[in-house]
Amino acid sequence: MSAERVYRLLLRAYPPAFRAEYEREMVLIFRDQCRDGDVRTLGFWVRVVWDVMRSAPALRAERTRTVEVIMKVAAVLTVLLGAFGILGAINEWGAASQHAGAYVLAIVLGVVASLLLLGAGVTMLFQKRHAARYALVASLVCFVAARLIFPWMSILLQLIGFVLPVGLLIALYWPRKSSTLGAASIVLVGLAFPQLCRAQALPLGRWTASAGPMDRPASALPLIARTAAHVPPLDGSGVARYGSPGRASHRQER
Amino acid sequence: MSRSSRQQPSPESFLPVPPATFHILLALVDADLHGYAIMQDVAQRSEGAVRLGPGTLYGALKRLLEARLVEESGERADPERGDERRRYYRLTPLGLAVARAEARRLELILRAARRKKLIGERPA
Repeated sequence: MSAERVYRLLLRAYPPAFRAEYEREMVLIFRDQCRDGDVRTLGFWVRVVWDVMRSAPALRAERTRTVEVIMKVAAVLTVLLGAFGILGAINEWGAASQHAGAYVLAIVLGVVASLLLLGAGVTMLFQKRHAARYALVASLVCFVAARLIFPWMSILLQLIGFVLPVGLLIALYWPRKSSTLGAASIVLVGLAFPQLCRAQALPLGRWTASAGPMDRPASALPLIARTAAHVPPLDGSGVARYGSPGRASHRQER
Repeated sequence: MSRSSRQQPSPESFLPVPPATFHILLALVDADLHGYAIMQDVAQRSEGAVRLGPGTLYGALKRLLEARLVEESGERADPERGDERRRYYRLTPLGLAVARAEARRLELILRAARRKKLIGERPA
């Protein structure tokens, strides 16, 4: 095996991103060193191995620290969004005048999903990856079930309920490059959240209730939600009145 | 306060500079150099006391590039070392300011050491 091939094997100790950027240059330097020094001596190889042993772990640790910081930010955002989900479901419950069976089940599932999301954020903060994964999968299942049973969720809540757990799962399951991408995507969703609220003119306290399909004009409802079971009769203004009469009249005044 | 001065950190915020990094900054003060030339310059200037390996060198260069103390000045072949194109590096104005600030810091320490007669005069 040639000396250069041995050196290329040693270079595998460095993080892939670092290798992609500097491997060629490092091999060029190694060739120069081989030309100027005696590659057959033990001292030469001791210096080469010592250099790799000293620098590679530091570079790997640097990369790990960056991902850890991103994951911590993502975990805090998950906790906050879980808490918002619970508040949103409670708000929705308080605003509704009638509590039918499917509606109650959907709200309960929404609360459970948000609680699981909150739990996933907490477990991520404590570095319990396995627990976080289970909580995220369970949260995703609950959100999907709640959405299928009763379409009370806003687009915003659906975005958080579906995209956030999927993004976090990607970040937690792929420990290499994807973890940075997955975690970064969650941070982006979190950062975009207030902007989305502002774009929909939503006060944060009522973000699920006032943006849900139940307050929209029936003509604006997606076809999939406009089933006899889901869309109640329209009132005079063309607003589907799922919730309390107070909310519909509030919208009319606006 | 102008926008550029708000964004650019002060040279003092980088102090103290690790010895290997300071040697790299010193090597780049006079000219743009490629990796191997930096290693040789450091070894010559320190009379063989500091020998940077490729891993240490490029690890430090990566950090210097991220901190914008150093920038790439293109790829070209070194006439003394064959046709292979090599990446050359040069100091940025911020990098030069950091090198000056570190040199001043070390000078103050040296002065203190001289006053205490640790160097410059042989102890009795």
